[in-house]
Amino acid sequence: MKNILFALFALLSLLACEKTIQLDLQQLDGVLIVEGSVNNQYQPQVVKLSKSRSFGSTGKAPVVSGAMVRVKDDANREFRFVEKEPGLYVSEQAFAGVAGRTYTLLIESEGKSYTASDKMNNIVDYDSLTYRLDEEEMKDPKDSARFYEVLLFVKEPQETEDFYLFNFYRNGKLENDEGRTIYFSEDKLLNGRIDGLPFPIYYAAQDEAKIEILNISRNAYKFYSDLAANLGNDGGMFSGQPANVYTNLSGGARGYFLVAPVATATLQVDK
Amino acid sequence: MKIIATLVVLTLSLGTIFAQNPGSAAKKQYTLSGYIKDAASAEELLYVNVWVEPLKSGATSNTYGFYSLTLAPGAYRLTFSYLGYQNISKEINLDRDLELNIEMQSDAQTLQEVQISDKKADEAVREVAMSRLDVPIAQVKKLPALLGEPDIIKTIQTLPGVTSAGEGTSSFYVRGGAADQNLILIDEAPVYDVSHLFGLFSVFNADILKSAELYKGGIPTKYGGRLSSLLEVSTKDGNARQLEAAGSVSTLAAKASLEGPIVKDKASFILAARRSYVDLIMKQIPDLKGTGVQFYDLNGKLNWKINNNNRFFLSAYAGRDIWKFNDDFQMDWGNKTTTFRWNHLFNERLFANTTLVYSDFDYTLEQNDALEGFRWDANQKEYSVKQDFTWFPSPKFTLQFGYQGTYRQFQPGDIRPNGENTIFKPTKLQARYALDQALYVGAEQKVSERLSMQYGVRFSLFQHLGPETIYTYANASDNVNYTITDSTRYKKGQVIASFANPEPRFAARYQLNNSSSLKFSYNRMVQYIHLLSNSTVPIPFNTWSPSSPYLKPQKADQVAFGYFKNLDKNTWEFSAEAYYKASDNITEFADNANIFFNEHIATEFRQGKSTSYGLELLLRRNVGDLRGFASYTLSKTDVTIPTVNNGQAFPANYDRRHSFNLSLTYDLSPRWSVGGNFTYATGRPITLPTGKYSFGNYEANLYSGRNGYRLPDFHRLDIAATFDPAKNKGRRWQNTWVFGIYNVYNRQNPFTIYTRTKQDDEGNVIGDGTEKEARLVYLFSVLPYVTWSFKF
Repeated sequence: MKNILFALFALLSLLACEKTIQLDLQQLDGVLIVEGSVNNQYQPQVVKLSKSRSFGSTGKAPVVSGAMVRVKDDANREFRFVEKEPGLYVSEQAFAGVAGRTYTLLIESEGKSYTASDKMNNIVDYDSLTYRLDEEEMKDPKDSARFYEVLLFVKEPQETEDFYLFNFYRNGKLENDEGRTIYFSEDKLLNGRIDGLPFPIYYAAQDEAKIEILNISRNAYKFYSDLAANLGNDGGMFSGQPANVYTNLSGGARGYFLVAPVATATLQVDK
Repeated sequence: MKIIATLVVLTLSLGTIFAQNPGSAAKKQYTLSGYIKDAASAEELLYVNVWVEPLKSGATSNTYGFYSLTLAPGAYRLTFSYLGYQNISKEINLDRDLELNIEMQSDAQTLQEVQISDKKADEAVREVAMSRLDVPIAQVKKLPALLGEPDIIKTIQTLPGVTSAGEGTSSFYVRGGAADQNLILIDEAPVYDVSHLFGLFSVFNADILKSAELYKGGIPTKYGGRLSSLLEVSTKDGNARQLEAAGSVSTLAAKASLEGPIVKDKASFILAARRSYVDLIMKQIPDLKGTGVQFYDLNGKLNWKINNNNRFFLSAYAGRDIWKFNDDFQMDWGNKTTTFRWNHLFNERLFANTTLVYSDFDYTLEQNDALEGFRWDANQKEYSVKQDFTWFPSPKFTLQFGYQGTYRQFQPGDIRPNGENTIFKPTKLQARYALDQALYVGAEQKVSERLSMQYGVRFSLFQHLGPETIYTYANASDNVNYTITDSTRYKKGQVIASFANPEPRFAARYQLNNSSSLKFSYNRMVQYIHLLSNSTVPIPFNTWSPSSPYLKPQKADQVAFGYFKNLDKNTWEFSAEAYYKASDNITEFADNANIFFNEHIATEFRQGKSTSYGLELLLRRNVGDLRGFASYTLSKTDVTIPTVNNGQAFPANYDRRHSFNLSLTYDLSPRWSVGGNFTYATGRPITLPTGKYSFGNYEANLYSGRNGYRLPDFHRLDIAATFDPAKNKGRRWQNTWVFGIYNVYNRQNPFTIYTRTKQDDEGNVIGDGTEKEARLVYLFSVLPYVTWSFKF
C-alpha cells in the first residue's frame, strides 16, 4: 500500500511542478542517536553513537565519544563495549546472540542513561539463489551490461509471526537505492513458499550477488516501517502525517538497537 | 422486511390520525396546498417562498416542491417567489380545501427583459434556518472551472466556513470538521468518495443537478450521522413536457444527457453520462501502451406522478475511476447508489415520504505478476429505509417526524493471489456489521410575527453487530507490542456494542424589520462511523469502521449566532455568522499508524477533542446582470489527542486563519457573459522537520511538533467568458462556448512540502548523501480551456 501511495504521489507529480526551497526551521539541541546491533554471528558486536543535527546541515553526523556502553542478556551475561574509533563502540569480546534471548543495551553518556531491549529470533531457513537473464532488461538496460536477475528461494514458516529485513549487495556494496529504499516485509500475506523472488537490482556477468535476510522482531519491523514512512512522506497530503520514527531506546535517544539473526546467501553470476 | 411492513402499517394508521382537522373544535379552517414547478420542464422547485397577505406570514415548498397552508376562510393574496424566477401572485378565496399547483417562469427563459421585482426573495432574512447555503448551479456553470469542468464541490470550497486542503482536491472541511464529517447525499443516498482523479473533479455532473444545499449548522432533526455538515444534492426529474438532449465537450471530458416525458406531465426520465478521455489520448502514445486514466459517471432517474397524492421516483448513480499502468497494475474505485421514493399525500396537511436507499463504495487493486500478483478488494454497503412525515396543522406550526434504519456492511480488505507461482496466500480481514436507527421529531413554530423557532430531537441508536471476533488487548493503545489476552466470537446479528444518544436541535429567528433578522442555532450531532484515514486528504483506498468497543462515537455541540440583512430591495444579501463548536471523541490515529489491511487497527485508534470557532461574512447578489458573492472567514481549529503531539493541542490539518473568496458573473449582452473567481487563504498547517539524523545509509527527519509550520498563503485568479452564438427564442437548438483561464497570473500555489536526499534534476545524489532538501510542490500553472455545449 505504501508503494501505491508513492506511485500515486509520483503520478500526481506529473501534473505538478516542484522546486527546492529553503526552510526557516527551529533549531533544536542534538539528541543521542543509537545504531546498535547484536546478531547471531560470533563476532565483535557494534554500537554507533552520534547526534542529530539541523535539517539543513551538511557533512557527517557528529559522533558521541566517551560513553559507557554495555549489553546484557536475560541470562545475566554482560558484554562491555570499548570505543574503537570516535563514536564506534565494539564489544571487548566477540559473542553471538542466541535465539530466544532478550538483549538489553545500556548507555551512559554526558550524564544521562539510556536503555533498549530487543529479542533474538530464529534464523531464516533459505533454500537457494539462482540467476537468469532478463531479456526485456537486456534490450534497454538501465545500467549497461546489468541485465541478470537473481532469484531467491526460501521457506516461510507459517506457524510463527515473522518480520524480515533484506539487504542486497552487489560485489560487496550495499545497494539500497542510495539510502532511499528499505526492503522489509511482514509475513501475514505470505504463503509458505517463496519460489524465485527477484532481487530489486540487476547484475552484470561476473558480479557477486549477496542477500542478507534478518528475522527481526515486531518492534524492529515497526522501526523500519516508520523509517520508510519518514523517508517517503509527501508532507501529509495523501500519506499519513509526518512523524518521528519508533525507537526502542528510553531516555530521549533515537535510533534502534537491533537484535536479529542474519542469514546470508551469495551467488556469482558465472557467465 | 419486517421493518418495512411495520412502517407501512404505521404510515397508514397515521394517515387517519392526522386527517382529523386540528381546529375542528374551534374555528373552521381550510387547507391550501399544491406543488410548485418550472413552467418549461415541469421540474419541481424546492424552497419556493409562499407569502400570504394580509396575514404577513407564509410557507416554503419542501424538498419535493410541495407546500401546504392551513388558514381561516377568507380572501388572500398569495405571492410565490423563487430565486431566478419571476414572481407569481394569485388572489384566492378560501372557502374549502384548495389545491393550487403553480408553474413559474425562469428569468433565463425570458432573458433580460424581466424587471427585477421589488418583492424578490427575502428568504435569507425570513427563514429560520441559518448556516445553510444553496449552491447556484446555473452560476457555477458560468464560473471558471479547472479544465472547463464545472464542479459544485470546487464552488462549495469557496463558501464561507468551508476550507479545502488545497487545489485539485475534492474534500472539504466545514467549520473545523474533518473531511469524513460531511454527509454527502445524492437524491438521499450517501456518497462515500466524491473524488475523481484523486480529487481533481467530483462525482457530481453539473448538467443533471437540480439543487445543492450545504448545511454547516442548524441541521434539521431529519438528518444525522455526521458531525459537521450536510450536503444535499438533488438531480433533475427530467422534462415532463418535451424531449430534450444536451451535451458538452471540454478539455477533459464529454457529457451527454437525454430527458423527456414518458407520459406527458405524468412520467418523465433523465439519463446522463460523462466520461473523461485522457486514456483515449494516452492510447495514441506508443510509450504509454496499456497505461490509462479514466473516469465515468452514469445517472438515471425515472419519475412517475400518478396523481397529486402519489408520486414515485427511482434514481440511480454509478461512477468509477479506472487507472491502468503498463497492463500490469490496475486500480479502480467507485460509488453506486439507488434511491426509490414514494411521496404520498394522505390529505392536504399530511405529507409522507417513504424512501429505500442502497449505497455501495468499493475499490480494487490488481497486480498481474506470476509471483507477486494479487487482487485486493474492499467495499462497504448500506441499505436504508426511511419513513418521513410532514404535518401542516396550521400556518404557524409544522411538524416533521419519522424513522430511519440503516444496515451497514464493511469489508475492509480481501486479498487473493492471482499469480501461478504466487508468494501470497489468500487473506481476508474480518467484515464488520452495524445497524443504525433513529427516530426524530422536529417542529417549526411561528411564535409571533417576529419570532419563529425550530426545535426537536433525534434519538439515534447504533449497534455494532456480529458475526465478528473481538480481541481483548492487554493495552489496547499499544500499537507495537499489543498482547491479545482474550477473544470473543459474536454470532450473526449478536450485539457487540450499542450506543444511544439524544441529539437536540434548536433554532430561532427574530425579525428586526422587513429587511433584517437575528438568528441563533444550537445542535448536537453524533457520528457513528469513522473514516480510517490519517492523511490530510482522504484517498479512495480508505475504508470506514463502525463505532465499536474500541472506537467511541464522535459527538459535537455547535452554537451559532447570525445577523441577516438584505439591502437595496433584496437585491443584495448580507449575513454575518459566528459559531463555536466543541467536538468529543474525534478520531485520530497513532503516529505512523498502519491503517491499511490491519486486523488490529483497534490499537492504532486515538480519540480526543477538537474546538473550533469563527466568524463568517457573506455578501451576495443573486439578481440582475451582476451576480455573485464575496465571502470572508476568520476561523481557528485546535485538536487535542492524548499521546499525539505529546498530548499538546495542535492546529487541525485544514485550519486556515483567513480565507477570502470573490465569485462574480456579469452578463455583458444576451450573447456574452463573463465570470471570475478570486480566492485567498492562509496556508494550511504542515509538519516540517526540526532536525535529521543518520541511521545506516538513511537520513531520517526529526520532528518536534505536529503542524508547527504553515505553507505559504494560497491565492489564485480564474476568469471565463461564456458565448451563446444565437440565442433565438424560437429555436430549440442552443449552443454555448466557454473560454477560460485558470490561475491567470500563474501563481505557484503550494500543495505540499516534502523532503528528500539532496539531488539534481536527474535524480543523482549531490554530495555524500547525508544532505537533505525541502521541495515545494505546486499543481497548476496558468491553464487555458475551452468547453462547448449544446442543447436541443
